[in-house]
Amino acid sequence: MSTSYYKGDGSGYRSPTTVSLPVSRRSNLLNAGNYIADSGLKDACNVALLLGQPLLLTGEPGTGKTQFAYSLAWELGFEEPLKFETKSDSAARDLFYTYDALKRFQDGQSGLKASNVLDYINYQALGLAILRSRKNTEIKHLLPANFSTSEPRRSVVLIDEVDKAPRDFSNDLLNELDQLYFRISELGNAKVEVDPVLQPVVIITSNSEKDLPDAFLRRCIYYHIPFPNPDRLANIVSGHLGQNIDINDTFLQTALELFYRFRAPENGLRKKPATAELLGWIIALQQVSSSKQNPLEDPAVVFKTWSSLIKTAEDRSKAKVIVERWIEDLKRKQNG
Amino acid sequence: MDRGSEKKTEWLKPELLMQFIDELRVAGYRIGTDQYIAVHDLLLTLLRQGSLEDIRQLKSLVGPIVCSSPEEQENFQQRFDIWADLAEKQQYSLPITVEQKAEELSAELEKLDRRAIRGRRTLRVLVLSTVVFFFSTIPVGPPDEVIIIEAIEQPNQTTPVPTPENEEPTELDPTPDGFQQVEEIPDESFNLVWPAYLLFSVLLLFNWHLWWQWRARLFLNRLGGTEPSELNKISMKEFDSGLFTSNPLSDVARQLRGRTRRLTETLDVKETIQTSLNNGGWLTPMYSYRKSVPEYLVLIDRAGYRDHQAKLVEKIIEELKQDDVYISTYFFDEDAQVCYSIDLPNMPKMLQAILNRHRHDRLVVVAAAERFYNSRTNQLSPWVQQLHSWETRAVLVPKTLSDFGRLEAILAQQWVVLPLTSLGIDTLAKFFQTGNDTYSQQDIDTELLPAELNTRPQQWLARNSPPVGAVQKMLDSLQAYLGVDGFYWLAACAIFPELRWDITLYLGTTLETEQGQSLLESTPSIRLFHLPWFRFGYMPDWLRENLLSRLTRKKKSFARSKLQELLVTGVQGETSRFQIEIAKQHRRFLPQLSNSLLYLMAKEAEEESPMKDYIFLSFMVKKPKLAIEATDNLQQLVDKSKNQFGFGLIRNAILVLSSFSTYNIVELLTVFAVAGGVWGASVGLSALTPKEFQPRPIQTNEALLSDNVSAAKQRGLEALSRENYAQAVEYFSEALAENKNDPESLIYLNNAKIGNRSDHTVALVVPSGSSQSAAAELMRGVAQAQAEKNERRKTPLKVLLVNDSDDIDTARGYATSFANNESVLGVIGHYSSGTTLAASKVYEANRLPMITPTSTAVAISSAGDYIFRTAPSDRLMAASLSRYVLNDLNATQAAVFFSSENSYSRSVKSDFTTELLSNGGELVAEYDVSQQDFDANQALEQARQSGADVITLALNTATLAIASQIIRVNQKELPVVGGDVLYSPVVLEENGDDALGLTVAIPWHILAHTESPYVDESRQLWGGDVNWRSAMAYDAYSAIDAAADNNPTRAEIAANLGGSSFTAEGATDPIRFLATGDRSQASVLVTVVEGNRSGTGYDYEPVTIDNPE
Repeated sequence: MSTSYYKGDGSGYRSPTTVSLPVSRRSNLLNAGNYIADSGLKDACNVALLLGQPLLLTGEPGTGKTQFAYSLAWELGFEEPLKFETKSDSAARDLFYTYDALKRFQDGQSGLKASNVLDYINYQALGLAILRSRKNTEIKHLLPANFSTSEPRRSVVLIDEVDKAPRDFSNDLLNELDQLYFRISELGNAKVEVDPVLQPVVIITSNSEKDLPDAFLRRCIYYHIPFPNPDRLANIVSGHLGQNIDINDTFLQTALELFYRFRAPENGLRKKPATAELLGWIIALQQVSSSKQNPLEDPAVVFKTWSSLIKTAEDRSKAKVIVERWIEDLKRKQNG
Repeated sequence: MDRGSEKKTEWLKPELLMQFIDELRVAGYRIGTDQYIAVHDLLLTLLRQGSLEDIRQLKSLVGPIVCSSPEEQENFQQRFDIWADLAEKQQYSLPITVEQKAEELSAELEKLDRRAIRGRRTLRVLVLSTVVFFFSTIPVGPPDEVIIIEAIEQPNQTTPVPTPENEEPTELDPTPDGFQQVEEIPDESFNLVWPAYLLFSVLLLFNWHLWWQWRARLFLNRLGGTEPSELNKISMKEFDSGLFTSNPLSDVARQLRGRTRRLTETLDVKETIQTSLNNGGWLTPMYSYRKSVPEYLVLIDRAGYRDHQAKLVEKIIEELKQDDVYISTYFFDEDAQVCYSIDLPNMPKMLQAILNRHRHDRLVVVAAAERFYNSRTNQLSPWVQQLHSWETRAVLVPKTLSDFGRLEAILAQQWVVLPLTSLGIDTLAKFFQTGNDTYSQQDIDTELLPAELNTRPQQWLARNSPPVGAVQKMLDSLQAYLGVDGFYWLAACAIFPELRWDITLYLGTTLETEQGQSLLESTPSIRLFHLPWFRFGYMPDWLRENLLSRLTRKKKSFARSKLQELLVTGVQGETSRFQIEIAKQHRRFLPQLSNSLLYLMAKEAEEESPMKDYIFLSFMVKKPKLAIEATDNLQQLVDKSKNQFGFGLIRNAILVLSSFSTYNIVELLTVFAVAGGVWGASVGLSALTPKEFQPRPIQTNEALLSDNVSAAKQRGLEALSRENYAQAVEYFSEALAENKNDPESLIYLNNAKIGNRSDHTVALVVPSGSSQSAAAELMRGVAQAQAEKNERRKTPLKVLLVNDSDDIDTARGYATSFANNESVLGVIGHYSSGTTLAASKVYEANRLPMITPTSTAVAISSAGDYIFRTAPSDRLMAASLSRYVLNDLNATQAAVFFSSENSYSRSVKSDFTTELLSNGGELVAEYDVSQQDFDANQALEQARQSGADVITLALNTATLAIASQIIRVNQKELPVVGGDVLYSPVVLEENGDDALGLTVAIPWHILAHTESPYVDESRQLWGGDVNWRSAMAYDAYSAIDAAADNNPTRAEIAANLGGSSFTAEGATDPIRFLATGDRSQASVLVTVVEGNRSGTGYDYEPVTIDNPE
């Protein structure tokens, strides 16, 4: 069978040539062109663009918060979003640039020649977005030698998981977004301002709105991405998997049914599988049993592939019960 | 233009949308100016683009601007739909604002005022013409008409009371001051006219009350909708603003927000270079500090949802949060190992988890210093040690600085200890800002919190009054401690039966000191809120009566008028200062209106509602009720004297005398003068007291156990009716010889043996109409006890047998009869908890002690001072079970099955869970068997999967079948434990082998006491084994017997039973009662084993405890 690339049976057999492995279709999943936003998100995004306010997205992991930014940038013809990963000690300045003082210090100490300050400055998402909005000639003196430049343009800035940072980071962030300029103290307080026409589009994601200050919430356009309902999920799946799957396929329908069972709160899985995991699982299912019409009728197939859905040992034992019961139900339905 | 586009332009008005946003803001959405501007912008842009065709397009566009949480996003959908519908029909109007409500109230009151004046006028004309008519027909000179007019006006200015038509007068009472005209009629020659006239005026008065009631109903319906509001559910606005005026918290907030330095992971170049140079060029990285806004973690000790002290802190925190101080708040009850978040009140969180999450926050604990120490070992509690790793931490102690004592001083060695006053909070902010916690206290109060309150708070929360002397002493020192104003506040809070934060604040802000200051301003509120009653949100009735009796008349009437204002405005659901102002303008007829309202509300309120509280009601109608005005001594005097003399008269005389102390001479005279005509008014008054139940006639000397009435027994009963006691003794002895297992005959035999000697009566209520076996079981216990105890008594006790069929109405009827029957000293009963609870109201109101042998519901604990029980409550049972699970089964992971539809099941479940969790167990799964799709197989499988190692069945009788199902499916795999419902032959019969090992907590089991003389004697007496009901009934009788030892009045029996030193010999264990009236004794655990006592092949046997004493 095509799945047995690796046998691990101690038979001492080694392939004389390198085996050709299939190209993972999972990489397609991140294809921004396939992203399907729900209508609320679409409207929220348009309002944010219209009003020029940052868009704050919440929702459980795997609902596509981050992907949305890519999709937006793609659709609007922008370059990929400039992503800022928030850390627990992020400060406002980190949004614009970081300065590697230690490296410079070491370089200095180890007797390297008087280096250019610019080599130790790393521009970060918001700083880059501001720089990109300016003409090349205006900012030449601020750029390190290897900085690739092009015409002034707009960018999408993605500030990911803002709730990771201390609470005053989000307030500072607001402030910076209002003003959209920064100074580089290492370069004699040089000031870089955004071109007002080319203000970046800002997408902020957060796992929960609970820890964010009120003032911050008030200033953002807010949308909570709900977990997709079955119809939309089917659409998402077929959108991502394209020609490989039919929306009305019984296989897809049964897979979704089982997927929702895993997610049902009464079944008590600690970590509920999300959309991304579903997609991975469906691909795996298809590959494992390309021959069968509906691979899900065989519990063995489910158990073989579910490691992309169920990730902890504790959940696994619970999930096993769910699958067994589900198959019983399935049989009963077919018989009756 | 077609009509469609006209419509369109209507809703496109931005104002309409803005009004909608207003509505959202009022509903608690976090909306600021920015959002208004954004929505406005959006709308204008859309209009400019011309892309807006349907109002519903706006839904998903406006939502993201105004919402800021998933909940709001969801809620917004519905609100928008409603708004859009109305807006399209051009019917949208803003939700009613406070001002509009006030206007509405004003209009309604104005109308009422006009009608009242008109009504009064008509009344006056009527009276005048009648009087003229009367005096013109009799040959006596006409009386001074002016006097009469004034006289009739009187009731309007004072307190007439609504009168229902069909209520019977139930007691004679001194009248309110409505009839002053009567003593002004001087001449005996009026003798003929006067009864007729009196009748007429009573009738008029009666109609006047009816009129008021009718108006009040209209008033309620118009303003309050269909459901009358309950005072305790009314939301009050703006009354907490006074809490912080003396010390603006914004100042504190500013300091708390002050940025602090925090070490970061980035390099500080200058420092690094400097230090590296100092170190001889060796690279020494120095990290930079960053300034950040500090976050706070506050842990609050909270005794319950009504804890005023915790509420005060909550309010302060709310205020600070508004000022952008970052605070996370958690509550705990005594032990902080388990905390509850303010946002998710139902999700307990372990302290460690919270600490991990808030590692960098500053910690503030709000709790009394006592909480930090284990009361037995005087060691720091474990949770305190967990907190010691904190860098910056402080304690706010709910005391004023001057109250600080030894414990605070000890605690201050390890913590920064500050008082929970404005000064303390100020200092707290300074401490966090500067690290300095010194502060100076200018005015030092010298009075200390009465020591008794500190050391034994439980005593003052008990339903039974401590000795009168002690109470007075405590109140004296409390008065000194709180000051005149603080004490006034405390006493005013005693009026309403529940201590509600809103009402407390309302009274604090509206009542005034003599200098015209509000009480809130003049008293440090923490002194009040730290008192045990405010912590637990409950004041026992004896305290309320005592407090109220200490109020001066002026203060009383002031407080009364404030509550009347609250009542009248409260029908609108929320009360604001506006409305109160308006109500004040109509002060003239407020008493009439509020009394009528009270009557209506009390009538419709549920059984448990504070609206039915007699202290509250009698205070509000100004009724000089004994309970309020007479001290306990006087009450006892009345009780004693009525046994010897012509009671009623003397009782009334003393009543009047006692009211003398609080009522002036005129009123006193009125009382005498109107004695005859009283009842017209007293009908109205009694209508306001808790509902009286029709007494139910008691059939004596009847066979309740109808199964085996032998001829001898029948003849015995007849002899008893003829009061031929000697013959009765003979017949009943004969009946018993025929069938010794007939406890009823034994009771009648005991009664007959008393003969013509003087005796007292104890009533025994059995459910023979619904369960003959249960009735017989109860009788077995009582019969045996009576036979034994009567031999030793000077004045024997007679048992009055009554069957209430375990029916609530019947039970209340009999309860009323017992209460009216002076010779009944105590009642044993009723059977099930529901019946007992219902009847207990009657006993409590009439001060007749009751002991139930069989009702175990937790609610009975708080039924009153006169209510006791001999079986352990469900809570104790749950405690025994959970202890067994943890200690003997060594299981920690419980799966609980319960039925959410049944209150018994719910309470057993929650009690068990609480006990389990607080002792280190864990609840891994819970299943609601009343769910449609409940499946025992599935549930058990799941329970096993989730690691359960014990199954707890918190089920009720109706779900016994499901219990059996679970037991069968389980097949002994996991140990099963359960409540006393599972102690049933049905369980043994149905489950056979699978039930083996099932362990059940029950009040008593015979096999646990095989050595005891009681068991021996009962076996001889009945020729079989008795069960727990008999034993508990035996105990109930024994308790009354012991308490009625010397001077048996009802009050003294209750006082004896509830006294802390009371103990009586029970069937197998000594009988002692807790302050709640519960038995202080643990349950017995029995387990199913093979055996042949029950005839099913299986038996319950007491669990052998592994550790012998």
